[in-house]
This record gives sequence, C-alpha cells and structure tokens, in this order.
Amino acid sequence: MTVPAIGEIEETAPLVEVRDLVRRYRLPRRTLLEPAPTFTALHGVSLTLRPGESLGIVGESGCGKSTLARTVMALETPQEGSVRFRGRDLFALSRGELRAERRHFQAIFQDPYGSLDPRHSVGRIVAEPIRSLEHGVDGAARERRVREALDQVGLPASAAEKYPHEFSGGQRQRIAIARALVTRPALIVCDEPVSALDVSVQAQVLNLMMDLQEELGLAYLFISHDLSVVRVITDRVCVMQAGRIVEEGATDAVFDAPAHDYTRTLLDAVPGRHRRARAGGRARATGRPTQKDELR
Amino acid sequence: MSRLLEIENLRVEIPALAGAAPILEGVDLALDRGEKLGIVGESGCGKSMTALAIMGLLPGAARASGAIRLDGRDLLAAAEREMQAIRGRRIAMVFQEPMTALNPVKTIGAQIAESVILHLRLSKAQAAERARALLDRVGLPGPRFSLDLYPHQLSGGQRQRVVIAIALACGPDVLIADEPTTALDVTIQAQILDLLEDLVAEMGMALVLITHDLGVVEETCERMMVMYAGRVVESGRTDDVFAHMAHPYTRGLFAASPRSALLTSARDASGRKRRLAAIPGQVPDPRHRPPGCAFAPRCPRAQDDCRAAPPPLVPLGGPDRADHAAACLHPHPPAAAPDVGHAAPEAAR
Repeated sequence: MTVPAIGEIEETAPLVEVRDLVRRYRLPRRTLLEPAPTFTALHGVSLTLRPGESLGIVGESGCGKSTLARTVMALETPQEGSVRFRGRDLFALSRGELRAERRHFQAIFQDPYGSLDPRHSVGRIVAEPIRSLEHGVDGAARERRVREALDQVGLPASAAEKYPHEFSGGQRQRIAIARALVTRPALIVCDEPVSALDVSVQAQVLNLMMDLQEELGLAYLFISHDLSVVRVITDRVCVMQAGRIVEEGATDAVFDAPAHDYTRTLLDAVPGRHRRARAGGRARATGRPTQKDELR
Repeated sequence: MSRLLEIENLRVEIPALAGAAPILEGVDLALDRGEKLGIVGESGCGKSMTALAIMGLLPGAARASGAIRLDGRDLLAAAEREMQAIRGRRIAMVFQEPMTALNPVKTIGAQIAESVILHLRLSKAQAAERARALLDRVGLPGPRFSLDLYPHQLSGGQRQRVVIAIALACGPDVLIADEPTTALDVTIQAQILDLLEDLVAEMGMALVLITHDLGVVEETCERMMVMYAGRVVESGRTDDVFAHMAHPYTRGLFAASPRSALLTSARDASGRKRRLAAIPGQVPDPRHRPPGCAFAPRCPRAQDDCRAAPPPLVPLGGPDRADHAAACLHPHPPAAAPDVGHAAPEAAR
C-alpha cells in the first residue's frame, strides 16, 4: 500500500523511511529435487516515522510485526526494499558505519527476565551500549551517564550495584529502558515492552515512556498485539495482517473509525468492549444491572 | 443443601526459613452448577494458588487449612488416591500455556483418550470415538483435525482447543480455567471465551475463570472476586462490582488498565497524551506483607486504622445487591461509581 501523505507534507525530515520491504524465509525442502519453499514475512512494507513521533504496529502473531522491527534495526537483511535512518540507507553502510549508527536507535524487548544478563550488575548492563557502540568514553563519563539514565527511568543510583534478580518485573523493564536511553538515541524500537507486566505496573512503565518521549523528543516504533496499549502510547498506528500494512493513520482516527475490515475485527475482539460500548456507561452509572441477554 | 463447590476460610502457607509465608488467607468461595465465577488479580495475588488448592496440586511444602468441599466432601482431608479419582473426572483444569500443557510426543487423540480410559474405563475404541466427538465439539472437525496429529502441527488457538477437549473429556462438574486466553491473539481469545461459555451452558458445569484481565471477566462471568496479596478484597455479581467498585484496589486496577482508555482519545484537550492512572508501588512480597490492609501502602484512601489489622470482607448492604462485599474500612461510596465507558456512542460502527 502507498504511504499516505501525512509524512510527506510535514516539514521535518523523516527519522525512519522504510520502502517496500520484502523479507522471505526459506522453509525446509519437502522433496529432494523441488526448490525449497519460501515464507514471505513482509510483502513490500513501507512506513515513515518522524522525529519525536510514536508509531504503533499492531497485528496478531505471525503478521510480520517483529520481523519488521528487526529489519528496521538492521538485525535482518531484507531481500528487497530499503530502510533509511536519518537519511542514510542502513543496508548500504559498511559494518563500521552501521555500528556507529546503532547508538542512535536502541531496542526494548518483551521479556524483562530474559533480556538482562543475570551475571552482570545493573551498572554494567546499562553501560553496555556505551562500551560496545561508542569509542573514547572514559570510565567516569560512562558512570555519570549510567547514573543519569537510571535517574531518567526513576531508579536510584544505588541500583547500579545490584543484580537483575533483585528487581521486580517492572523495575527490570525500567533497567532495559535505561540501557536503551544511555546512548541518547533518537529512536527506540519497542517489541511488546509491557505485555509481560501486571496491569498496575504496566501503567507505570507506559507513563514513564510517555514522559521520556516528551522530555527527550524520542521516537518510538512500538510493536504490540495489545490494541489498548497502542491506543494509549502511539500517535500513529499501522495495522498489519499477513505481512502487509492494511491500515495506517492517526491513532485516534483508526480506533474511532476503522476503515479496514481487519482492524474492525481486531477491535471487536477486545474483551469487555462490547458490553461497555453497547450498554455503555449509562446503565452502569445508574447502577442498573445490564441485561446480558440483550447484549448477545 | 450443600453447594457444588465451597471454600471456607482457606489458608495456605509455605514454610520459609524466616517464618511461614502466607500465600492465601481467609479465602471463601461458593459455586453452583452452571455458574461462572471470575477471579481477578495481579501476579502474586493468590489466584492461581486458589486453583491449585482446589485441584489438590499445591506445591509439596505448602500447608493448607480451612475447607474445600465438593458436594459436601472436604477435599483437603481427602487422601491422594481419592483426589486422583476426582482430579480430571469431577474437577478439570485448563492451563494458560497450551504449548507446555500438552505432551509433544503423544498424539492429541491419545492425550484426550487417556483420561476417559483411566476414569471412565472405556475401551480404546470407545475412547477414540469419544475423543473424535470432543474434538468436533471444540471446533477441530475431522478429517482435517485427525486424532493422529501431534501438538506441534497445531496453532496456539488450536492447541488450546485440544487442552479444553482434554479437560472436558470426563464431563467434569467444575472447570477451572487459569488464564486460558492470555497466550492467545485477541481474535482467537474471543473464540476460545465463546467456546468456554457455550460449553458451560451446554454441559451445566461450573466455571472458575482466573484472569488478570477485567474485560474478560466482565464479558464472561456473572460473579467475580478480586484478589490482592492472598485475600479476597471485593466480591459479588459482576454487574454490581463494576457498577460500584467499592475497593480502592478494584478501582485502581480498572483505572490503570489501558483498556479503560480504549474507547476514548488518548489525548487531552491540549493535545498532550493522557497518562494512565498507575497504582504507585508494587504488590508486597508474601513474606513482608504489612500488618494491616495489604493494599494500604499503595492506597489513596488509606487512614491510620487501615494499618492496624486486615479488614474483613463485609457485605456492602443494599437489598438488590445481596452478595456484594468488600474488604475495606473506607470503601468508595456507591454514588461515586466511576464513569467508565462514557465514550461517545459508537458512531463508527
């Protein structure tokens, strides 16, 4: 599908420009002589992300949203198409140049238990991107920036001495965010960052991410299957189905007036939505019990 | 007349080096055939422990007191042999992870047949016939879904259907579903919830649905319990609980859920993104629960008396909402029911 004008009429240069990405995976051969079948995870996906913007990618498992995220971060090489980050084609860069570029985009993953090395102190974990992506940062400066990053995510400086197992899931996700922030990136790619967290903690982390976006002018590429989370945190949203973007637009517009059938199907499936939408707050506010049968 | 399933003052503790850690305290519950009860709470609140206690599957070190009665018979006092006859036959369970609940090296047919051969003493042929009928019923019709398939040949939703078929195999009286849809995509989630509802209506089972998702409970269950730190903090008919939300935790949980924002714009008038009403702090460790109400340290309404002793679960009164109760000394008054789902009528659909 073509990219709507929204990114093009804007004055600001796009931070990320994805054009016609195609990513195929080879599947195991079925017979000896036939060519190996392929699975196409991305069928020509295009999108634009402006600086400071939060773009959501929603879809069900297997729709290609994580492949898209990995490709945008140049962790996967597409068969066709390009990813331009700050105007430079990531797949045309040399290894060294790509490495230098990586400090400007960082990632947060779903599992706050699996994504932090249990044998390293939090200070070392958070400092890791500086060590591996930036040259000539001395120990004192590194330590100062680790403290700053921990402070930004609401953790005390003393956290640096501790180990991941001493923290709860929500705090671990804060550590992961601190690690992403430490190189002062322009973009954070978030793959299901709150789906492993409990509701009350999830809200804390989402609020933190909104605060950071405003304070630091961060852009997010926010991958999630959870429509409500996406509505809360994104400015624009792309709905993906089977490797294609089927609907794109301002988040409020897509949620309030979905244009594509698949978007509607997704929204309708959210539990609790029917009763609340149809019976509405009216019955509830007056304390009248809603008649279940009516709602079927 | 005794209820189908009745839990009275259930207390479960796990001995630790520094004194016992209470996992559940004073949990009461009653359930009849055809009823659907939702248990809601965050991780560590004790909702899964309650399920395991009913199944007699508590971890070895755990000590349980109180009573869990099935048709008047106390399961806590039952010998393991008796429990084996009940488990899977009269009380069955659907687990969260369909990937790990199934045996990867046995066919789905054999896994469904296993319990009917064991409990109902059916022959292999009868068991296979029954397994076929069950698979048809849960939406996996033959010949596409042969009994000879292995779990890895199925998708997540299909596997969960197999898990449900296994649970239903012996026609249990009580079905406990512990986060049955958490690992599934939303569209599949809706299908599985519909299937569970239909089956409960059709077979006259009682359903205990354990979830962290208020939306799932609201849609599926007539009655609900909200748990926090091992205790029931609010219970009653789902409509009453949602209409009132007496306990500050229930209200906090609802407000913190992004789902409450699903129907409204995520931005306020000035175009700034709205923040979610997060509950500050975190669920206390069972070994270090505060002496009074366990929610008091996170509660906006907490006063000094909250910190003295855990408040009992007391009925909130009102003749039309008989069993609505909350464990709170300063519950929200009913008049201030949150204006949830106030969003504009759905013009778009």
